[in-house]
Amino acid sequence: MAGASKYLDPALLSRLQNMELVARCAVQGFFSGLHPSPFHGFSAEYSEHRQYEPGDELRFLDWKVFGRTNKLYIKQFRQDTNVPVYILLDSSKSMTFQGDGTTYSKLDYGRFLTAALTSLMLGQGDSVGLMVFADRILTRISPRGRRTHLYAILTALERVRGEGQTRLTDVLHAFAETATRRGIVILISDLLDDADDLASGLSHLKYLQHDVIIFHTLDHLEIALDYQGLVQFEDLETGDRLRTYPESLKNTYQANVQAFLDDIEKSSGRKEIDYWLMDTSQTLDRAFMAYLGRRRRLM
Amino acid sequence: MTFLQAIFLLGTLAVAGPIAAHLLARPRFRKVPFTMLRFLRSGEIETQSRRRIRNLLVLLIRCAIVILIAVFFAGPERILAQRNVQTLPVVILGVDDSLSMAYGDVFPRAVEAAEAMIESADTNARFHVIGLASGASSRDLDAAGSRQFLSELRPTPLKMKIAPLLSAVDSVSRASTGAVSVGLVSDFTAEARVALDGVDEPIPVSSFTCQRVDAGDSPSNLALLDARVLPGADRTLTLAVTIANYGDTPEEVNLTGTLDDSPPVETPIRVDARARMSVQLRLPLASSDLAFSRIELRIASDDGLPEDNRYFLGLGQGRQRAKRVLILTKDAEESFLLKTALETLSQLNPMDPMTVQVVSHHRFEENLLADADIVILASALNRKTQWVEELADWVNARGRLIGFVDPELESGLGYYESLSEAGIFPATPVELRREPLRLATNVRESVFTDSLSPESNAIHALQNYRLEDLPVLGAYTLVLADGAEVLWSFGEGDPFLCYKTAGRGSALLVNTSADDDFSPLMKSPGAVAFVNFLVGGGAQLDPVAFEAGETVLLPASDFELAHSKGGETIYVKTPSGSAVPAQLSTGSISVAPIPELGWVATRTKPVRYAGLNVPHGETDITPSTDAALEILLARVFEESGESANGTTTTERERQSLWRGFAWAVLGLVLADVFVSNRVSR
Repeated sequence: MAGASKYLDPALLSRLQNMELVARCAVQGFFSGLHPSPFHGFSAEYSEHRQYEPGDELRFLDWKVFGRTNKLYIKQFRQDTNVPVYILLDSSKSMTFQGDGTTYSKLDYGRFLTAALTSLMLGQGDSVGLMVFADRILTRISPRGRRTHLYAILTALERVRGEGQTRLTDVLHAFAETATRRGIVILISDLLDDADDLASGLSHLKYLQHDVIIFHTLDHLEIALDYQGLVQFEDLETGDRLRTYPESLKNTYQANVQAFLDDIEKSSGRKEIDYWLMDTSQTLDRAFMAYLGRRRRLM
Repeated sequence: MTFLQAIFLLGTLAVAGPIAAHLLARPRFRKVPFTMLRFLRSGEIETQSRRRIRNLLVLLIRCAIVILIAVFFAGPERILAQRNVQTLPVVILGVDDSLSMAYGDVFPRAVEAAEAMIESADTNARFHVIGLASGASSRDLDAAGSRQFLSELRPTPLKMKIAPLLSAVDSVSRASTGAVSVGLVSDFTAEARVALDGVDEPIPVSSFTCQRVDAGDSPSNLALLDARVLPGADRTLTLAVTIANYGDTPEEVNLTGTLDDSPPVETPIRVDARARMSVQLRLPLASSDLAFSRIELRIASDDGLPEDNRYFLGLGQGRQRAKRVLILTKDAEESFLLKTALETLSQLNPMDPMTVQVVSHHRFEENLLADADIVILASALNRKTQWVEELADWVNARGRLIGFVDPELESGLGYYESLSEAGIFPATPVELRREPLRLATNVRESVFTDSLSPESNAIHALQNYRLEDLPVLGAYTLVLADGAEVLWSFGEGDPFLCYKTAGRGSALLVNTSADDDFSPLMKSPGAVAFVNFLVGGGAQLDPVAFEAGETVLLPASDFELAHSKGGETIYVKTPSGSAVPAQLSTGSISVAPIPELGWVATRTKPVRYAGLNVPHGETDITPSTDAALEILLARVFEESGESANGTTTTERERQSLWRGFAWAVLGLVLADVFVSNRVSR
């Protein structure tokens, strides 16, 4: 990973103590790989000038510049869709899972992702809100479009602690009842809840015509079960224990997990929900692309 | 089911091992926080239960393996049938028929003692009688048959061996369930005691009876022990004869030596009591061809054992041809004195003839080396590396290289250095010192190890000439090579004669010239003795003598060697005149041991002889003390104390089951591997 794009690596971000730094590094790293940016639009906020090319609308010509220099320039504006984005970050105990050999948990990954997306979205002119939840809504910040709003969200993120069980259904229904304005809902969670309940909550959001993006955050070990020898598993949320030889269960486990993932993906697909499985070892740019792709479709 | 070694069943207790391991070795689980336990549950329940079953199965298999191995070692048997049988006692009689028993009336008394043992045995007893020297034996005899066998035994010129008796006891004990008694009759001389001393562990027998029959106190017994050929001159053959007096009184007798059919030569000798001595006997030579002669030595003693008063010796040809000496020289004059001394030596010693060839440096060829036994460098070659490799190979193979120095050696110093660097030459001359020198009087004599080693009398002969009085006008300072020995020095300590072995050969450096440039050595009367010392001793004649009971090796003739294909059977004549087969192999005729005294001779010409003599020390009839003998015999046989009479025993027909157990163990080991492997997964 060369240049600024290396800041998309969660392993590196985990070493940055300041969440703002995390957000800026990740976003700059992302854009350093995307020039020229396709995401400039024409709205009220000035962005930059560029030379006129045949086919450009004449109404965007900067006549003042033409008058002074006798050259045709197009004036570009930052696009402002005024789309509220709601980021729902799961902070249940299960999100604190951290696989052997990694230096950050799923929750850390979610925090990085939230910070980076917030920075990106505010940069795009969107208003961003945050809701941190576990078995209930723990923190709620309403959507705002100001640049300074970033600090409110980052402060909330730094206070996030992993605790409680996941109760997605209750949380999603509660959120849906309060977020009446149509927008983009980004759910960052390991989705360790009943599949039917999850479907019910998501249906509620879709009913309110939100565009939903799910970043299903899982550790690589949760997917692959790469453990050796005798292991006593202890459930982070329930405290249940299980003694076993993981190698003997690996195939069955992987099949079960795959079925679970397939189920969620199909269910999401049916509801036109963007589903992204985020292995915490993956860089953050996949999430950025998912968000921006969804945003373009809204334009 | 019964067991041959039930004690091994205690090994089943080892089953506690796997059980304890199973109970104590609890699995240690690593605690790991996790999230998605619900996806683990479905498979785990089944695996845990299966695992417990498999662990139990492994435990059972391993316990079964331990038990089966213990049973396997216990020797399981199944009794098929059972009947009562009357077993007869067995008496094994070992009678020493070695040559020492031939002393006086010792052997007849030994036979009487053995017969007395037969008389005292159970009337139903069966007898095994063994001649402990000859190995003659007869089994399962009744009393009359054993007396008959005893009457046929005669002392043989062999040593007593205890092994046949022990072997008979062992085999009888295995085959019979009855009592096994052992009787031993011997004179228990030193050699017999040596045989008994070789037994490591006493053998249990029902009863053991020992009867000593010896020559009594102060026996008179002289014995000819050994004779060796010494290199001699003046047309005589010198023999070094070793004689022992085993008696308690000094003996004065005549020693007589007879060479072939020549008149015997006699010399009086006196041998002190309990002493041995070496006597030199000179036999005049009627002919120079001694290659395959026979010599008989005899002492005229009327002691109680005449067999050891004679010694038989054949003479073999050490080499099949005369020694070939090659002198390499700058010119013939340079080595004239040396050549003359060598030829004189050859004429003086017909037993060790030599052919001497002088070759100038520029006419030297490698094929001359192939035939040479000795190469003498009267002076060094000029070119530093000329023939060095060839000479090194030749010396390492078998040759002796002798180098002289001369005042004009400067140009050849490098040559001797090359020979030293090649690892075959003892020293490198460095600097010439032209100053008067004298030889020291002492010559080291014990360092020669190659095949041409001179005998010590060659050195003694050399010292007779007082060479230390000869004026030496100059010599070189020498740098000795690794492993070189200084045999002879100048009085000032500088080396005069250096010696080094290389491979199977050797090299000498003489720190004087081959002519009289440096010293009048080669013109002196001691010249012949000096070259005799240099070229090595008379190994021309090999004494051919063996002990009775040894494998005899006779020298093969040229004809036999030329037409031998190896392993061929030819016949030789024994001392008693009969023909026995022998094998021709590796240049010799190999004859199986013959228990006779005299000459073994080939039936083809030239007739070659090998002397067969009394085994060394066999006729030393010095008795041992009773206490010492008792201790010795207690280490051979151990009485169990059971009745030596016949008994009625129950004989069972058994079927061994060890194969079945062995297969079961193998099968279980395989099963264990399979099940364990499944568990670890």
